[in-house]
Amino acid sequence: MKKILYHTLLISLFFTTFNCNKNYLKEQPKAIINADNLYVDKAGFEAGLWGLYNLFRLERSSTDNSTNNMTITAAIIGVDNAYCPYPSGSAPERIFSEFGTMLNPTSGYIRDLFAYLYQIVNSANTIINRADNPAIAWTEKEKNSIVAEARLFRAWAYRHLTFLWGDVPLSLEEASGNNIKTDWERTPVPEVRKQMEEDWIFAEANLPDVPNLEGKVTKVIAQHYLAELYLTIGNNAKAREKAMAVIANSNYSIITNRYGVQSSQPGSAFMDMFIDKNANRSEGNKEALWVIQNEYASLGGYNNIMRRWWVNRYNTIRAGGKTPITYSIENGGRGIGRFGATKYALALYEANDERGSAYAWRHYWIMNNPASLPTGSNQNATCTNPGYTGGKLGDTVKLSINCDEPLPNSTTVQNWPNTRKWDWSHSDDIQITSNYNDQVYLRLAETYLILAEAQYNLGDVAGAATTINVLRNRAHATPVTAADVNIDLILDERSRELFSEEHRRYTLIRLHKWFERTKKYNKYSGVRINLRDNLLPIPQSVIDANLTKPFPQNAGY
Amino acid sequence: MFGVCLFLCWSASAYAQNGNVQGRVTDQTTGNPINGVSVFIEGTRDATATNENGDYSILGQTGKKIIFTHVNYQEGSLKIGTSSVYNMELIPKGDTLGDVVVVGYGTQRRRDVTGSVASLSKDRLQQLPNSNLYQAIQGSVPGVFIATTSAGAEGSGMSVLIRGRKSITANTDPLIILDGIPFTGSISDINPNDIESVDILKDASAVAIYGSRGSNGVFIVTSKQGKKGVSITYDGFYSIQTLTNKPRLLTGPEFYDFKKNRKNSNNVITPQEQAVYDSGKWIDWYDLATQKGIRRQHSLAVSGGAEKINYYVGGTYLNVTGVSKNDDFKRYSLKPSLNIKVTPWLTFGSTSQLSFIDRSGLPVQFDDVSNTGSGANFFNPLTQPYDSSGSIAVYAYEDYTQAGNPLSNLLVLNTDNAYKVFTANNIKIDFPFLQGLSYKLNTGLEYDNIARKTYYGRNVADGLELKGRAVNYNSISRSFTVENILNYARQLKKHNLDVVLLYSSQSEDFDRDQLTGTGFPNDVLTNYQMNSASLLVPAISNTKSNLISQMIRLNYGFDSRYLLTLTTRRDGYSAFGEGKKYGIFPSVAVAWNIASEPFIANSDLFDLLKLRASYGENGNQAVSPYSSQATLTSAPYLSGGVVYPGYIPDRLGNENLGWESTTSATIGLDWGVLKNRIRGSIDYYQSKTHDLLLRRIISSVHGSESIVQNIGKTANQGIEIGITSTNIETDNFKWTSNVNFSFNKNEILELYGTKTDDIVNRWFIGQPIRVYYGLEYDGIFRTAEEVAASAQKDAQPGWVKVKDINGDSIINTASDRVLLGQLDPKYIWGFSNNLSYRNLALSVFIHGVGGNQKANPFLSDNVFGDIRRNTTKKDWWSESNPSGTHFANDQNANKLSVYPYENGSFVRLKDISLSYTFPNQIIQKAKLTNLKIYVTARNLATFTKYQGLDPELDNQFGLPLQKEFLFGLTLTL
Repeated sequence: MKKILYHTLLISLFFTTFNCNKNYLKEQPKAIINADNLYVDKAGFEAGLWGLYNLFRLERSSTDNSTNNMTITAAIIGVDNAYCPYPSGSAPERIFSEFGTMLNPTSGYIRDLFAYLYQIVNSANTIINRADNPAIAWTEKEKNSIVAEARLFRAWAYRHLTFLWGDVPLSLEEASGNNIKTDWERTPVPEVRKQMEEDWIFAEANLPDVPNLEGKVTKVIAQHYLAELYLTIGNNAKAREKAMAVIANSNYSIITNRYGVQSSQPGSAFMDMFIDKNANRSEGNKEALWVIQNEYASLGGYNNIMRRWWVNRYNTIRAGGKTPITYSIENGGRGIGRFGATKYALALYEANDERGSAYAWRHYWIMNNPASLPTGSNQNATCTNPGYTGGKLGDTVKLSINCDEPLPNSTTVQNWPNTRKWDWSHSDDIQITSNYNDQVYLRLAETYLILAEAQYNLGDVAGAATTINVLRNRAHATPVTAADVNIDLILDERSRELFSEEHRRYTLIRLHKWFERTKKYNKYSGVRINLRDNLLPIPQSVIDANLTKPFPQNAGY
Repeated sequence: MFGVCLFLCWSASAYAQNGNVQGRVTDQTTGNPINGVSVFIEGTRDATATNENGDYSILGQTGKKIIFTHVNYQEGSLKIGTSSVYNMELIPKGDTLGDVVVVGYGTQRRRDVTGSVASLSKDRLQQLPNSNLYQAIQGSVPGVFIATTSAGAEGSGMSVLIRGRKSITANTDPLIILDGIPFTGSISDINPNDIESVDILKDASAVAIYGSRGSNGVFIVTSKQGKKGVSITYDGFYSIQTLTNKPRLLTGPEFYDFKKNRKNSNNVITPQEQAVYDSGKWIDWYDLATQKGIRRQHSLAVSGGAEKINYYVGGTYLNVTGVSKNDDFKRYSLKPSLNIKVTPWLTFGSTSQLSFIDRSGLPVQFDDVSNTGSGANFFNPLTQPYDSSGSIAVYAYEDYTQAGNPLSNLLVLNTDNAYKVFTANNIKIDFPFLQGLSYKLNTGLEYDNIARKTYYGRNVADGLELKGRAVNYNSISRSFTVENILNYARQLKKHNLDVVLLYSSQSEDFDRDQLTGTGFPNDVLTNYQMNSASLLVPAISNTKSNLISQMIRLNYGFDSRYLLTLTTRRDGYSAFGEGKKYGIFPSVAVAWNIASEPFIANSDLFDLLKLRASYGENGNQAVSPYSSQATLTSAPYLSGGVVYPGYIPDRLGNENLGWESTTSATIGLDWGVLKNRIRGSIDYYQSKTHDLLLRRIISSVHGSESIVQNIGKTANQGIEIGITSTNIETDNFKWTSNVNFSFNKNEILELYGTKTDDIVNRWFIGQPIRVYYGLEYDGIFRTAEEVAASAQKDAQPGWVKVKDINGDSIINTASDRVLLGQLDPKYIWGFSNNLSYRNLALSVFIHGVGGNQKANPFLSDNVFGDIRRNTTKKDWWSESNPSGTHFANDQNANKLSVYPYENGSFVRLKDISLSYTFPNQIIQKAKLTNLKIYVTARNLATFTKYQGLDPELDNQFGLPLQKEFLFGLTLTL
């Protein structure tokens, strides 16, 4: 008995000697940041906002961390003025070239794009929700300013979502792992737009006129988007009011004179803002409403593939059996022509329109490849063969612009002119894959065109013509008369002015013109599109993950 | 330490004299006393037997020999000198009856084991020169499925599944216990040469002692320890490696034609392609990137021991020159171990492994990981690897510089060194006041430092474009284990009791520091010029996890006939959510040695007949630290050139993250007949796993596309059979065979508490966890009429036909999807034959798996729109080849990317080994105790219907498996 007692004592000693520290199983990560320890003060919320800017910038980058698969493809090509000259594999640009079978709910691009936009929604919701935490020490003004920025981004994401998919779930709360929803519902578009309107109105009221730091969002951006939203929902008076507010803001004006780093060299006032180091307000660009910030070899910089996508494969142009043009900074850097203009877009310009000039488009190239120079010359550029003035460095290779846009992957695609808005390269690496320049994202010229549309819709045709002529005069194009103005003219003017900048698909969808005009002007895709393509398919993964409630697919998919 | 005070209470017992000699007989492996050993004095009739404490006492005479015999042990003898005390350690016999099995926190005689414990045969471990322990285990243990997932010099790409898949997200790797300590390093860090035995715990009861981490099985690895006497062994081998299989890629001219004929593609032949084509000097990149591999190893081991001390020191040098150029692996390891019986009641044991691993040099990039056409395997053949001066060109494909040059890794400067320390030290105190009570303090430390420096100079694309790129990487991982083990083992007449109490903690941490610099003035200072970089990008990570455990195990046996094991373990793991950190895992097992029953023992039929049954619960904690926490990810931005830190929500938190637990029942039968000439075991098990740790895809409306949660319920059931038979045994000739077969059925029972399928995650009630689901390939269209009659009106002859499952004449990517087979094999088997004739021995080992489907990525001509990458040769359909079996060479021919899945079954002739042991006369003349030479061939042949690179590998675009021919020598002094 004594023995048993002794043993019991011994065993309990054994288990009690090693009583552990209560915190032994508590996790204290050193190298991980989470929402609970970031969103505790103003600086933390500002870091959250910079995260939103980082996401926003990915629009001109890829959805999958590569330098392919441009995020915004769906809004840019497969429309009346742009198509894909070099479609490949299951890449997004091929989807919006082929349509049909390729545009389906299991497409990885469609899934990534949808997820990307909701990531922005959730990131914004996190900031907006957590700003209500009473423990944060800040003034009401500071708080409102931060919430305003976040709400501007949230509405920005819903703008993409509603234009692309129509009814989408309206999520206004930070997602939590403790409450995974499997019964999302598609909120009717008008309800989503009501929220967008509220968000932008809040942003308008709480953001400054001009950015306090380059690239930051402002009141005018909110007003610009409100104007577009009101056009979309048919409230033309309000659209006019908001657009007028932007235009009336004395901090912003249309650029009518040469400025900036290359102002002493030949060029045009219209194109100056697309030149590296000219994009920002501080660099002289008073037309820009919103400028994407970037930097080569910087922790804050990131891939931007606008030039890679828009510049054509000029290095493969053959003249006299040779390839006399090679990559250079002057030629804009290395492009792979995934996006290109349709004939419609190229043919829109009258001869004296600066927006259609050789400063804006590559109508010809200068021979710069000593390794492959042709002999003789050929003054006549045809649709199949470019002309060339001789076989010396500095001789010109002339492209014909009076052709139909070449069919995708055909042998003449490289001879097709490209826009110069995204030209950029770096002396360290001429063939560098990405752009790292600051780029205009939104500018006053578009606000003018929104205003013109509102004026036209309100019956103020003369006012619309005046508004449009502000842009035409700057480009030295012939002014239009009130009689000329109609929706198609406005759409043409938008293409002339904003080619490759605006979300062309959204504009056309908003005006119920996408199907008609794409069919009419896009030679390859026009015969491939269907009415169902007005909206993209809801990603199958979103439908399949909605386990407890059916998530309806868009019609026709 | 309370042991010390206990020592004071203890008085050493004195030994009687009076012409009697006495001592204790113990098991050499376990140190446990042996009851019933016959002890007699040579040439006399004096005989006695040891008692339950292993003690004996017998009348002896100086100069005479004491002989010790026991049915389960090899005979031992000692010469009587002047002392009166003669302790004896007996070596267990090498037959399965008396084999000692390591069961975790102790050992057991195999006949007393109640759970499913499989031991790796010594042949597999010793006769085959493996770089990696898994290679030895693959196919040779029932219920253990090991797949080679990738090839390469190091040979570490292997995955393990025991008794089927329970979880997907959580790690399926088994817990490795190296010399009593949970080992956190990679399996390739353990030198197989230093391994004495591997025991694999499979059922709930056996693994229950490792509670939280047992559900994937436990590999107990015991390293070699010193033995009595002195022996010096040299073992060395040299091998040549070649590729087992090489895809049939297009030759230069074939690629040229393929490109020209490809429809709906940008098929313009580039100037360089044309020039190379014209010159006829196209490149076989596969040949250029690979070479004859060489693997060589030298190992020297010194082992010895006396009564109270034994030691083992093994040193091994392994040097592998991989089949992929620049894929080198060198390992220098030293394994000292020492065991000292300090006093009769205090034992100290220490075993360590010190290694230095050198992986310097970047292997040729085989796979096209960047998806730019840069991989050596499918690189465009119409290109030029060398420039005009004969050096490796910066760009091999001048017209697509993004592809770089697959050989450029040969020019990249890279040192990659790992320094590893593993040390396990224990003290054991046998309390004298209570016979059979002991305390063991077991400690383990692992330290692993990886230091890597890589420099891409201006002679390679990356370095040229970025003006030099330097990556300095340093990581340290550590693991500390402390275990307190209290053991009470007592045999009282026919009752055998063994109780183990455990209190332990384990702490693991990892810290990584990486700095990437680009934009240097020149390449002179390589990695040592970070201060002049124009951009520095740091990458840092730090994790720590803690585990705390208590366990009690009770083993009771009556007459070695009726056996019972009861175990309960409680674990706490830091990575789970608050309130979910602890789990309790109980189990029970019983066994009945029927052959020992009088009614059987008298018949000669069975030499072994044991029925086992177990039931219990295990856990799986295999989620990484901080998995339950919501995290943000860095997303910086800038303005006016100033960088601002930014963050965005990354991973959703899950405070409820807790244990995955598996409840399983096993019933097994071990048997041996015809004097154990044929013996085997059969196990049937059923297990149910609850709250699986799964990474679940969720609606992206959450802003995140997945989350790790405890989800659902799955079931596994299966049968494992192992049979060993001595087919022929004569004086000179012996033939034994061993076959094992395992069948496993895996099934999802429930998800989110309901019986509904989760399509987005490909989880279907009643189906295995990993299945293929999608549109079904239905051949190709051959005529316009076929197209017209199909659901794909926009198709053309030669295009892929997709099965219209619901028959609505539309191919719908949602409603036409079907289940297309399972990914994990239904059954696996291994078959080995050992033949020996005089001094010659031959062993042949075949391994196979079956019942699984596998995707074959070679079916796709994934060449980009402008045909920059090579592809395999196929019988493409075309108007001029209307009987072609493969769809047309047309970018539009398979718009939905639908391919057939292939049968992933295979049979592989893994090893053939022939050895010759020199006869005794020769060995003795050379003053050796053993001399053996052997040749081994590996992966000699594979039989499969699978058309990809290899049915076993994960990545079909990676390096193929190696075929190996090896020559080796073992010599013992």
